[in-house]
Amino acid sequence: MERTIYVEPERCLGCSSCELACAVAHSQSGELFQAIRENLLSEPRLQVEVVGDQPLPLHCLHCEDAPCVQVCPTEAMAKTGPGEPVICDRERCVGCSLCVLACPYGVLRLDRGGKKVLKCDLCIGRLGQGLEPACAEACPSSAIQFLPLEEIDQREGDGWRKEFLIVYRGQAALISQAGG
Amino acid sequence: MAQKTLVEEQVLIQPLQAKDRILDEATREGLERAEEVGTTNVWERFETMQPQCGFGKLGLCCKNCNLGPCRIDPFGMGAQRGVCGATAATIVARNLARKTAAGAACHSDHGRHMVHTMLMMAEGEAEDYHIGDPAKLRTVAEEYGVELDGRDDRAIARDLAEAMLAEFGQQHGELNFVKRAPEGQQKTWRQLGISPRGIDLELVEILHRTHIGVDNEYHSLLSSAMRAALSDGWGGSMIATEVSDILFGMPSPVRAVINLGVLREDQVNVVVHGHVPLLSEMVLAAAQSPDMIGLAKEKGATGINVVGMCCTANELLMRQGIPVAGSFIQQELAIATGAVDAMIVDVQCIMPSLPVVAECFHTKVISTDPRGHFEGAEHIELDESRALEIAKEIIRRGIEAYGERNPDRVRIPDERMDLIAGFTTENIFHHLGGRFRGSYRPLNDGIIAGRIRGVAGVVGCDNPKNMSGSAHVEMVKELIKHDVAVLQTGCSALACARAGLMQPEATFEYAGQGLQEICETVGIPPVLHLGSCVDNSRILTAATEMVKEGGVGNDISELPAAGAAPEWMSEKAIAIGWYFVASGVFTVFGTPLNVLGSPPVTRYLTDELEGIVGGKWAFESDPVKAAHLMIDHINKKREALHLRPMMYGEE
Repeated sequence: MERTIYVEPERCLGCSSCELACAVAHSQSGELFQAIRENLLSEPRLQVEVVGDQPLPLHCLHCEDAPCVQVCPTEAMAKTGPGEPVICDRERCVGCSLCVLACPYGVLRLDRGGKKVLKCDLCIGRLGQGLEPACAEACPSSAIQFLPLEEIDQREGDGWRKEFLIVYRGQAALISQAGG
Repeated sequence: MAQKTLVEEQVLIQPLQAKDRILDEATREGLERAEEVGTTNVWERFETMQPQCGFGKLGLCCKNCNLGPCRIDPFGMGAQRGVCGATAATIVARNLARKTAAGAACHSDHGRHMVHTMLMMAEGEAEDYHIGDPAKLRTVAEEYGVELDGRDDRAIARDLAEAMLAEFGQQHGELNFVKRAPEGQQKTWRQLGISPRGIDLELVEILHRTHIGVDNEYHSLLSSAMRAALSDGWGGSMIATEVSDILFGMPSPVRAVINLGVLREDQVNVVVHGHVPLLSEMVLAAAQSPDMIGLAKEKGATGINVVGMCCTANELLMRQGIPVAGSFIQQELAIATGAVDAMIVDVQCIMPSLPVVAECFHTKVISTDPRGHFEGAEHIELDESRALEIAKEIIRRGIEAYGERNPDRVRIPDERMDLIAGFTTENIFHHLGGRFRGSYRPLNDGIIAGRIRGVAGVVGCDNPKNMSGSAHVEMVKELIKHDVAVLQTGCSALACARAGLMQPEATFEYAGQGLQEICETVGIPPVLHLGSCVDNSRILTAATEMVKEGGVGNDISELPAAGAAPEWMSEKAIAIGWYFVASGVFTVFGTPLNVLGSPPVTRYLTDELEGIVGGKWAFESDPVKAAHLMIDHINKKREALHLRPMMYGEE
């Protein structure tokens, strides 16, 4: 059963719990109280942005035909198969930022040190332990959920949300362009 | 590829749940019953709330003004200042100060209620109350400078009450009980400017300081938190303890029974729950009156069984030896037995879910304090001028409900444990030194000689976040095994009593050899129950007596002593922790205060404070490791005092 991250923007309260949980999940210790004291502080792989009055979490959408993969000169960015996450191999990444420019959703950015790209990995480490991605687990209002693809297909019938998503994608593209 | 399998074969697992950490058998059975009838409970709600907000845990969110709400990014990428400009340190310290004030307000308002009733009694407006301990009345009145010669008790009580009430509104100077503290503490507090001036004043000032744009400097904010906490420990709480002793009598050692098994199938079960003993004492008296017992018998019951819950349990256990149904964490489970006819609540630590659980049964939840109303509960307010009459009305409700009890739905866990409670600063004298040579000498000598390593106060709440009571038990066992005598209050005391640590027999099973010898000689358990959470003031005065007796340190910070609240949850616990720390005690909390979001504040609390007030905080969730932090601290103090090595070595 394939699952992926599904966002219901109208449920997002903008609390940033997902960002915090993401940073903790990608820290060395994986534990909040220790993570905030590590020498190399962790960073979230997603951002909560505001579109109009509506906050919403921006994730990597793990595109099937991913522009970031296409433009990556070192093959650091790779998709291992259909329906699989797009993963950035930090060893190979040289921080050229081509993928940051290429991403239509503006969700990629360089890390704190400015040398490597920072990217959602769908918490593959946690999935291996039978856990949900940290952002989905942390979201107190279920704006972020980790759902089977079939269920997501059914939910996309919701007209209001579709409209919202179009706006969100347009806005995200604008953010991306402004950032570029 | 490995990644493919991971996503494709994703099966969500169930991690260990809070309820899996419950060790107490009755609690486990009670929870099973609650689940069976499908009612809400604290463990289920705790799981639903997971994961809890990281900003909140770290203390990094601020809702004090409408520029916000603001939160600081602990990973340094997002906001590092609130909209007003507040740093993480300012926000964390402001939040902690406010929580301290709220906790201190609870204890102190409890104290105010006690004193106010003493005043009504003295003026003849509350005829159901009496002076239960005239000797203590005179001792305390003398401390307040009340004229004693040739005056009757009521006149003395009136003047004492007026003097105490005045301290709530006092605007300058110092609270009277500050002078009870060892010279060293008094001097430190005066030098730092944290000696409490008035009880309400310190709390109001914190609300002022923590408003946007007032006190933005964390040292200053935390000093005000200490001052407020001291106005609780050496003020409101101490007043509450002393006036309770004056009105209802000083406790003396008493044997009693604890756990859900004290509920009875054949009697009207009335649970008194909350904190202030003013109504619960009357409920007990009413339940013992022949007319009420007669009424209960008419309904087919063999009698009326008044049992306690939470700190009300401790108040009535200490003075009247009534059975204890449970601690904070067990309150819903008592109702889920189907055997509780009336649960009478007043203030503090009463779950708002009680009426919801009661809906599944015949149980009447009755709120009684003007400060504490509950959706779904019946409100019958305590009127001190006709307290016994109100208490009888409440008992009648319980008897009526008993008539509606469905015996088929009653499941009372068959768990009961004996305990001894009723120790006080004053009566420990007699146990240690004998009735005619009451003295702390044997305790201090035991410490000096290395039979007893030191003394620990283990107090506070129980919490599903930790071990639902069991962390207390693990910690206290480890302490007494290493010859540390343990003083307890609150739900912590109840958790250890449930586990049998307050029976004299526990000495031989759990205590180290040196502590065993002392307990055996004196005839006390290794773990002493000193009462409710306002009775933490007894731990302060007992520590002071140890200082006065001499040989184990010139002030509280030099004593081989430590404190802990392994499962704290309430703001009151924060106030208690603070007045212990500010009085020179090394104090370990099971989960961190919500301060880790600011490293400078964390460092100040867990390190730098020791050089300033003599005490400091530590945070350790493993109860055994926490016990060893306390033991290490006690050893350090023994070394500094050049006390002898432990008599039976270090195992």
